[in-house]
Amino acid sequence: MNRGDILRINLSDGTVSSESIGKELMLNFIGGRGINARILYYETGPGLDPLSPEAPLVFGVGPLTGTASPASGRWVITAKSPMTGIFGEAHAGGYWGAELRFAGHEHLIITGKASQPVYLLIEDEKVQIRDAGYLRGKNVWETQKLIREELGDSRIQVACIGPGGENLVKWACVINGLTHSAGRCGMGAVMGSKNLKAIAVRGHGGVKVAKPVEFMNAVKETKRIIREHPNYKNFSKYGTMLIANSLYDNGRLTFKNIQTTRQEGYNERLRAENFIVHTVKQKACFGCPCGCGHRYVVKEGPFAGIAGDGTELTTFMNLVGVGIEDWGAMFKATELCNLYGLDTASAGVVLQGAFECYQRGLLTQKDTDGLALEWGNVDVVLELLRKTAYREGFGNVLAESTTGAAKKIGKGADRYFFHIKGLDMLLVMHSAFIGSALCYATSTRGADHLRGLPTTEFYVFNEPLIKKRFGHLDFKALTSKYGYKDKAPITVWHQHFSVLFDSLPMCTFNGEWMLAQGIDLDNMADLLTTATGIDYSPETLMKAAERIYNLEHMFNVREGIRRKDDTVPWRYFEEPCPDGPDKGRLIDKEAWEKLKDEYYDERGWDRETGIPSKKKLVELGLNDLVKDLKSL
Amino acid sequence: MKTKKLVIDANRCKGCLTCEIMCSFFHDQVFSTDRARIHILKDDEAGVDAPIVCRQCSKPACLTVCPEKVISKDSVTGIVSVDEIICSGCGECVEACSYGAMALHPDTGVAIKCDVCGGNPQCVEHCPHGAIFFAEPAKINTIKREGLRREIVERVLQGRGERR
Repeated sequence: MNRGDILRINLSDGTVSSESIGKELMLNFIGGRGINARILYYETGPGLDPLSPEAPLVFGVGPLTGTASPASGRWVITAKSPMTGIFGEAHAGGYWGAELRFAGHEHLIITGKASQPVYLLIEDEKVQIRDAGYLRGKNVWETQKLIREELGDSRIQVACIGPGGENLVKWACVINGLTHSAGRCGMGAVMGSKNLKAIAVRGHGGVKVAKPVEFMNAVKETKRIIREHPNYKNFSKYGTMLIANSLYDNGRLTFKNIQTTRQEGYNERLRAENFIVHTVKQKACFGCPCGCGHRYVVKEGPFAGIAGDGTELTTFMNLVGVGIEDWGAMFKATELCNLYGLDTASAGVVLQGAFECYQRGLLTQKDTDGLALEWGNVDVVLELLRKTAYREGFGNVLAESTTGAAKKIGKGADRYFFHIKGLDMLLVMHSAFIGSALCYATSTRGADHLRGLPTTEFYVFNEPLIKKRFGHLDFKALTSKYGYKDKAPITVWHQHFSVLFDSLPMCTFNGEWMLAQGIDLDNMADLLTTATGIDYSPETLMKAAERIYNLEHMFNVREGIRRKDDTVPWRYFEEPCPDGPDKGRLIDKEAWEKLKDEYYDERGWDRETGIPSKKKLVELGLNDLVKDLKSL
Repeated sequence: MKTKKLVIDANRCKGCLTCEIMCSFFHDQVFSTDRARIHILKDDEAGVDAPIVCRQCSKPACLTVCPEKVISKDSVTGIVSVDEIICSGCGECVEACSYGAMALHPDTGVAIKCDVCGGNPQCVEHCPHGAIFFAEPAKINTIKREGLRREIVERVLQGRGERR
């Protein structure tokens, strides 16, 4: 296989160099998320300022990117997060990743800081640092359009930041296409701190696989499994929004900053069926058999005439909680986030935090530039997004994300900005779904629903497959949302499984969420082995995943993250679930701490501190990290 | 044997480029959009994905203009093909084709075009969204009407404000 190289670009002095990905790296860290994490760990030390020129910003794709392997259009950014101060990572789909691979590269390590706004043009082996003066202040869609026009090729893929990233908003993201956002952890601010407006990529080459016939057999088998999944048709039609239906029905979706799980008129207005009324066309990312994206046009109401791609589940869940009840307004809020280059997920959480502070009198109109932060006030939501992107007035407070905003507001506001390790969390009810709560609490980039939710807790599961995989565990316990039993091993397994999807790469939606009930480690091993010519087995893959997970965790340990940080917000322990199917439930503190003990035991981490044991690191071949244990 | 043609239902195309990479994989054993003989014209801002491919014209402009006479049309299958061994890569055919279906191969420099993969077009075989068919002329009409029917139904339902 022709693997891409690692391209190193220093924006301070304009130097560019390239190195190949060695076999050791391929075997032990696979690609994508894995190799990115390895690069970040080795090229940084504790206490680094994430927005300093020295801080590396790492882009990556994987061995299957650009090939016929299903849903392989993912790309990942890794950097120390300015939002959380720990391991930061964001993923996106679209076409940028495949184009980077066609250009012959798999990873970009960007360091330094340009003296003027610049953008990178990577065309095969040629790398140019170009003037982006004319792009300063332009929104994401304009930036992409202008670069394509300047260079005269609509096949150029652009990943860029908007005003949000330029103004170092802590929840600014990097976007490719209209909406393919590498959203989480404030990667847009890191890019902005380097004066880097965009990375334009065009690849005239291609990707060859080691064993073409066998590879295509593995691709066909994987695609068959995807197509035969009971939810395939609906996932394809409704996209991620399908999940919102079941979340609402099961009392998991929350409103008003987790104060309730019920919303009047939800079923009439906000279900996925109401969403797709606005769809005029379906969209797919590179090589995706599912194609869950939607092109919408709003035909009536105050937002009539706006058109774009979206909206996705996370955006919806967090914005619906602020009280947006109309699809036109939902699309408008999404559009603004995309234009300004702000993470839609963070938007909802930061806004809900501020709205609850207003509800409780911690904020008044004097603090908010005269805006009334009343639940459901769409105009205020839209105005706050704009103010945040330009750090104007109260927007400058919100731009600091959950922890920073709470600090600026003071008066105990930190109780109402929900985050884990500084990353704002998808506002769902956790009084049930204990395994999912554990996954959130222990995820390596902070609160996270995309990195190993135990799918056995959810409503569709493949009983024979679960029994085959987890025969040694209690099936009833695994599929019970309220139980604590056996949730530690199942969460660890899923966290590793999700590392693999992120490293191949394969989309989480096609992969972990839908196909943890279908696709197996054997399929992954087949795809990788036939593509790369290197032997991967289910065992070596799981080992690699554990290695990657421990490396990411060690990054956080180095920054001072300990057991106390592995938790979910107080509300789940102290305020019984107010309504819905799980009414009256709480997370039991004692059982929760016991579950965490089991989790650390399962991982070979110290129960008291959550620090990996020397034995575990050596077992995973992370011998280099042992010295870092000593300096803690 | 009846002449089969590639028929595209652009409304179903989601723009995933699977057709392009499977095309290059069949012809060059490499996944490469630049080496594909089918091409999706995309516009992100407008949300448009429009696949274009050779129409195997009855009076092909590429064939007419070729100074070396290396392009021929099969009298039985109707497939227009380039003799890639003799082609000098002058590019006359690329200029002449109004559909943008002709291209010069980035590595060899000779003219390349859709040859329906010798009768089993890989774009049709692998399109995950059913946007491209390989059909006899008599069936083309059915496919077109079916696409039109779906479009009309959607419009009518939207007009009525009904859920789909």
